[in-house]
Amino acid sequence: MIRLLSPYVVIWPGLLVLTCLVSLKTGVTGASWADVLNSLSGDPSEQGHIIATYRLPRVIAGVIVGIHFALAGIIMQVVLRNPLADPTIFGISSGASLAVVCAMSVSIALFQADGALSVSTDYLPLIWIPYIAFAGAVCATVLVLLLALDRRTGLSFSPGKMVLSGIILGAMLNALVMVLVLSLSEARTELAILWLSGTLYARGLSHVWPIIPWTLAGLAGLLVLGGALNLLRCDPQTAQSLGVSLKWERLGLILVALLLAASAVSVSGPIGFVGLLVPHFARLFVPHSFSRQIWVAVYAGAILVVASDTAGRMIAVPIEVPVGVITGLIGAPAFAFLIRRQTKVS
Amino acid sequence: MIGLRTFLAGMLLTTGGAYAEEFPVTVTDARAAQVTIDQEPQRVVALGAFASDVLTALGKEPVGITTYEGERPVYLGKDLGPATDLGDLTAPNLELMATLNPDLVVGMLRYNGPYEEEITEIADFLAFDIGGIDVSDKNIISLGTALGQSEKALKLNETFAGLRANFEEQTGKQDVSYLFIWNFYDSMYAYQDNLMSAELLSGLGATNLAGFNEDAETPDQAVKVLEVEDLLALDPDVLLMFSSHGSTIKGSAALKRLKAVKEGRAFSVGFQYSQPDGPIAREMVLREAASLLFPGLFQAPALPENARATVLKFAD
Amino acid sequence: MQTEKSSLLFECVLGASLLGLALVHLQLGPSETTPLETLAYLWQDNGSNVSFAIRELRLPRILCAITVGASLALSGFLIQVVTRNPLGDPGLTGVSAGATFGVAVIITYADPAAWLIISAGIAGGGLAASLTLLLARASGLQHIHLLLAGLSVAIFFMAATSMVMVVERASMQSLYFWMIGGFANKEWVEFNLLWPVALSGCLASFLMAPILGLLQLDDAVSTGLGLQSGLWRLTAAAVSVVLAAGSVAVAGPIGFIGFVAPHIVRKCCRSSSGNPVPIGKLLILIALTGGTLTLAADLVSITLGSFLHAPAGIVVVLVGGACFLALSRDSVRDFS
Repeated sequence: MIRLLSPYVVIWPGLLVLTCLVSLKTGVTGASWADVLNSLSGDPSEQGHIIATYRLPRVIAGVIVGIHFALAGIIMQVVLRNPLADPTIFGISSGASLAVVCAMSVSIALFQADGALSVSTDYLPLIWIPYIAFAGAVCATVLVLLLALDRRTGLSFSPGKMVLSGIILGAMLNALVMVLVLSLSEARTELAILWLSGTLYARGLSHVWPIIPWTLAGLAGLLVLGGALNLLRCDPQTAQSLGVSLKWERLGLILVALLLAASAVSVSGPIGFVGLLVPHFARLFVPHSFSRQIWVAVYAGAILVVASDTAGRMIAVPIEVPVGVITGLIGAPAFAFLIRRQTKVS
Repeated sequence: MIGLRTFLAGMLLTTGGAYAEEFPVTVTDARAAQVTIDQEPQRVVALGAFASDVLTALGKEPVGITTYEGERPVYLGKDLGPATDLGDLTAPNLELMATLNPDLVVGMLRYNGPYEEEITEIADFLAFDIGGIDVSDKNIISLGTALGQSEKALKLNETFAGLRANFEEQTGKQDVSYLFIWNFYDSMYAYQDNLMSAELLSGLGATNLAGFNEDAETPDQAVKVLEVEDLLALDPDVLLMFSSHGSTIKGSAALKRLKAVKEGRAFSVGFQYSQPDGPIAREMVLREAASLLFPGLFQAPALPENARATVLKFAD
Repeated sequence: MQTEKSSLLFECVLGASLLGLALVHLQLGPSETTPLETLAYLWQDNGSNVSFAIRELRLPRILCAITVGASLALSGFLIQVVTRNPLGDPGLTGVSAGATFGVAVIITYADPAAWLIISAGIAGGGLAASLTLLLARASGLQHIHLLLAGLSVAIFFMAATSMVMVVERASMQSLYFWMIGGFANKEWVEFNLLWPVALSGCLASFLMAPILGLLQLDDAVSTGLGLQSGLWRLTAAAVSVVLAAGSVAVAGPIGFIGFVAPHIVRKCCRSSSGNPVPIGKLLILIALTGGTLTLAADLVSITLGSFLHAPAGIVVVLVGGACFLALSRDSVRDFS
């Protein structure tokens, strides 16, 4: 009972709902709160229709993507024992991006061999993209981990090396993405670049549906392995003394994180800093309860993405600033603040 | 804007729906999709220059347009009317588009095709793509039919074909070499004959030094990346350059060595050269390019001021 | 003795490859020439287009590549000295991103003169460098914190550059123009813009050479020697920013040279006896190595050009990144 009444259980969902409502209300055409409520009803007004058709699906996509990145971030930070782990910093997003852009180029080549005129088929089937992104993410992660493997002490990863090799590998993979993008035809360059900057433009339920199973799978994996995740927060010795080797659990958790991050990348492109910031933020608010940290992270991730996207829609009407650009602008100073705070604490 | 009016008058166009079309009509677009349009479209959104161009040529005002690098197609001038700006062609603001209540959205396959599902929810969607003259003809017919003016569209094509034949006859295959370059900061892309601007110019009997690209899988791959030195080696008789993003032309020292520059036959040309698929753009390009390539034979057409070719100037 | 031998060998290889690469580079173009002809054209202009191409197009491009490489390498080395961190690099400390932002803003909102472009680059780079150093100072410039501070500053300025471009409705392609460096179509105009900045930066570093040597030591030692180390470190950082910003204004952001070049030099000139290479010579070698690497990257980019569009900036990131990963093994042994 007490847990249910705890402020965190009320405040965070409340904040998320509020953010979503504000996002629904905000747009190039004004709308009243009545319109917003009306849009959720069965028989919307004209404004309500626009909200239901354009803003609502986008808000849903933002929420799902935000949850994915946040969970991926928190799992990686715990499993890799690295407070700086993040899908975008660790080259995971770059790996996923490279795989998707590669697949785009290949699909163009295949389509051309066909010689058919129906150009619309030369875009990758949406349902495939999460798998391709996942494969790319796995490869990139394996590389980063191999590079960070400390051979002297067996199977442990040096956090610093991990950050370093993640950054460098990310830069290299991005360079490869650029080569591919620049060598594609001009029209695809524009589309690919828009996608690579992390955008929710024209994203709707048709994009979100393919990754919902992944969300569920990720959450299920997290439920099954949640206990292990909690144990992993202790240092390796303690975990070992509790009689769990946790080798397989760690592997499982990393796969869950990759699954979540890669599927999110497949929808929106890489949106930076969400996975990195949100867990820190959660720790700031609920330092003592890990299970609550997870929930706070889930909500905060969704809020961050939805709010950034709303800002991006409104800054330069009618142009839409990609959400990844906004999270970069907000995230970098926030991250810097976190580093300072951490160094002061320690 | 007198320029464009004169030009349109020269295109022998009569305004008004003289040719009533029977609706519904079914047209095929570049997606090979059969789109059935139930009533004559009254509120049309034009994504990209081609759609705006066809609408203007057929005497219709679009309700929404996109910009390219922040600008409306300048060669159409104010004839586009008070259309709402929907933002960049690559990512038009869908919400704003929906509030315009259009009954037809005409877009470009390469940019808007990936979002066809979202656009179709707003209105009937027709997507076209760039190509050669034949593609332009086909697209004009399709769009004309969709707008209930297929005969007028057909006539546009016939007139243009006649004009080309007439011009070709007059030039008598003189030997003039040229390059049409799309310039972007440090990069220069020469259009090859697969692309319509070059096809039009080469059709006049001039030789495109960038040639035809046999390997291009789509028309927009038919460009040759040139460095200043390549330009020196090719040294065309006439140089036409479109500078995108308002970038200034680089490499003045080298360019001044070009035959074309020395003889005052290097020109900075208007936006219509980069996307000449529409009926107005293509005729502007044909007429103006003819006067630039064969100055003795053809008069410069009356074009709106900011669409007119000017002699290439250098920053220093 | 050992030191001198290995270092001499390195110098010879370096000099030979720089000259060789430059000569090969000079011959590549639509109108190919033999090495002898090339030299003849360099010696005397016969008024032909080939001669013009070699003297006015290929030569300045080569000089730009070498100068940019040398500047970035020295800039990286200075950062490494100032922060006592072997991972210093203008890209990794956000300087390049800041300079890119400065240049992008001034070009977007004004039609500036050349010196204004460079100044905007320096201002942006300086701002970024100050931010990074301020952020990382709290932790006494620990490796990891410097890296992270630099990274967040770099991402911030990249995002800010994107923002400017998107809001000003430049196409997405022009954004990429600002994210990738290269040397295509660089001529005397660019070189004339670059060399005064690069030269003054280089001269300043050479003048500071003895102090740089001391700065590499402990703060306690250098203070004991009566050195106002704080002031000098600031000066060195400023020189480093100027060097990097000048390069970025001319060639765009080119990553990892600043890290890789000093590393190669240290590795190749490492002696068995442990005698360090004199700092003045070290600076020259680092600059030359940076120039050689960048020139080689541009050569690769030209050779690839016919089937892949890979500007020199990309080649540098790919090769430099690989070097970084290989080389950083040693320098990050204590990096955790």
